[in-house]
Amino acid sequence: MAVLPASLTLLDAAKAGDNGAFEILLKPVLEPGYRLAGGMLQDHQAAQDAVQEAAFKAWRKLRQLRDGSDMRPWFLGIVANECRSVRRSRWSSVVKLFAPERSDTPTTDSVVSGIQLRSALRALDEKKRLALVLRWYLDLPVEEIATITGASAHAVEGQIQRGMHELRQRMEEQRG
Amino acid sequence: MDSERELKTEFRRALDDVLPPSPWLEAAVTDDLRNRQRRTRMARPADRSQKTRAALPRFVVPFVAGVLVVVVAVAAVAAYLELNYRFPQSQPAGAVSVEAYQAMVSRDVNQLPAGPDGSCTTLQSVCPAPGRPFLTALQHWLDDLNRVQPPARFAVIDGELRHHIAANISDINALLAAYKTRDQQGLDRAYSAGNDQDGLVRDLAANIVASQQGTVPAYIASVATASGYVNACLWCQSLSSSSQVDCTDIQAASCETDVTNAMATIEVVEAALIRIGAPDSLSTQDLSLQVDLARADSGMLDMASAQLTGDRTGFDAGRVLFRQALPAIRADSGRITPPGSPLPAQLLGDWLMPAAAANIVGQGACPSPLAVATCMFRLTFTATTYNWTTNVPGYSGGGGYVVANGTELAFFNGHACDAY
Repeated sequence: MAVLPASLTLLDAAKAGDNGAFEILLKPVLEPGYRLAGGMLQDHQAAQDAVQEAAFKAWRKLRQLRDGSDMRPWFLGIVANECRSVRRSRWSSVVKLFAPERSDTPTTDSVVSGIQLRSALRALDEKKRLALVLRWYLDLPVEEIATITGASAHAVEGQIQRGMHELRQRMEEQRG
Repeated sequence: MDSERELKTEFRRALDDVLPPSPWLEAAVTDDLRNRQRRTRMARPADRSQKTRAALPRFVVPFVAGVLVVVVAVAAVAAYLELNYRFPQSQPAGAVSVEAYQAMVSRDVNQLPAGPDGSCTTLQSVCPAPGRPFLTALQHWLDDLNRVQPPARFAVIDGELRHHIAANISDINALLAAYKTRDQQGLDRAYSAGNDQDGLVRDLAANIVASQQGTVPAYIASVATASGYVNACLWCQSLSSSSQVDCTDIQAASCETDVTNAMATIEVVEAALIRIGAPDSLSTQDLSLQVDLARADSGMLDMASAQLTGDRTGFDAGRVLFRQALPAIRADSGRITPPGSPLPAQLLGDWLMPAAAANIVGQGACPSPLAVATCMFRLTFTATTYNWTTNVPGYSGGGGYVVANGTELAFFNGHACDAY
């Protein structure tokens, strides 16, 4: 969907305490937030938790969003930080990241390939994983990814390239 | 080798497999948000609604503004006094209780501004203003830690916390210096390092604040899980191997990945030992493990710092420290064991699961017709270890240590079983 600057009227109202206005601003960015959290955490329940937490933090920090700024990169930045906190601070999520995957359906090549890819993705460092998920799973432009991650566009392009190479290498190691 | 397009298609499919459509998402998030908003309002003093607020007489506004200026000035002086005179710098405060130490750490970590928000990451951004409050809060925290003697339980982690806070301060200073000299690469590197340290110090603090002394089973289980992560840490193995090539160039992305992820693994283990503290009966073994973890952590901090400046000598010195610490960590973990004795002779050797049973465990992954040659799980015991292998598609092996305790077997310090 097209990225629209946060409506001045809605944003002003939300900053003034109109929760209904905030919910309207939030609605179009929830699905991208969920896909980002899902790509980073690879667990739909953890992704939902991360998005809920991010929505609350966004409500509390709304005054930091400058008039005319895009809501989506700002909110996705909060989601990315939330995923990072989930990964770093919770034992259960660390255990999940290292837990073996088992397919619930009869194994096919595509299922095995999916398991291998997700495993390889988990092995990437956070910067590369985030860049790949934002670029390949959410189809965001490099400039927006740079805004979300706080890095330069040049650094983002490098992270995507290095992430892609490392992902491919790790998958080949598993297949080999 | 997959083309980029094929890999991207695989990528999207792999994530779609674990992320179902979410028509329920908006309602779930909205309900949760409204509940939290309600709780937040209930926790605050009542505010007058904007609709009912009456217009103030014109003369009141400047008067109120003047009073506010005085109030703010008084508060600023009070804060300055608190920062500089509550803890006189002349003498250390001496050993503090566990509760007092936890309260101090909690207070200081909560003084940190919100994490990096991207406002100081490009040469066009608004540095250096956002870095200063961070530096002030971090220095205040470090000063507090340096003034007190931590309780015995936190003695080792206290040293690591101070080490990480100091590293965080260095990273922010490096970031500001890179900004000043218009060095984008240096800025990227320092920002990334500072970002990592910010997360690490907050996590360490959170685990210190939440720390409680555990029971013997809880503590042993925690160590066993943590040891599995160290054993499965590919980045740790890469850094400790004499033949690895990732760090031929210490500032290469592959080397940065190894150091960042190895540090994160060690930090997870350190956090576990703090969150579930050792019972008195295992305090000696726990101390040894904490000390060796701290050595590994220090080695990696040295490597990370050296990467910022391209200091090959400093990097290699840190790596030596890390290499020495890693086997010591494994040995320490092996001494923190459940009660029990070596396995009896009749259990030693191979135990083979029949193909039919293996196929059930493998959820039908085995090819037809079922045969051990293509469908089996094998468990091999020695007196103190177990190892299992398999040829069931989608599964890999693992292993660890085992003791016998009456009619029970306790498996511990196992390698994490995954598809790496």
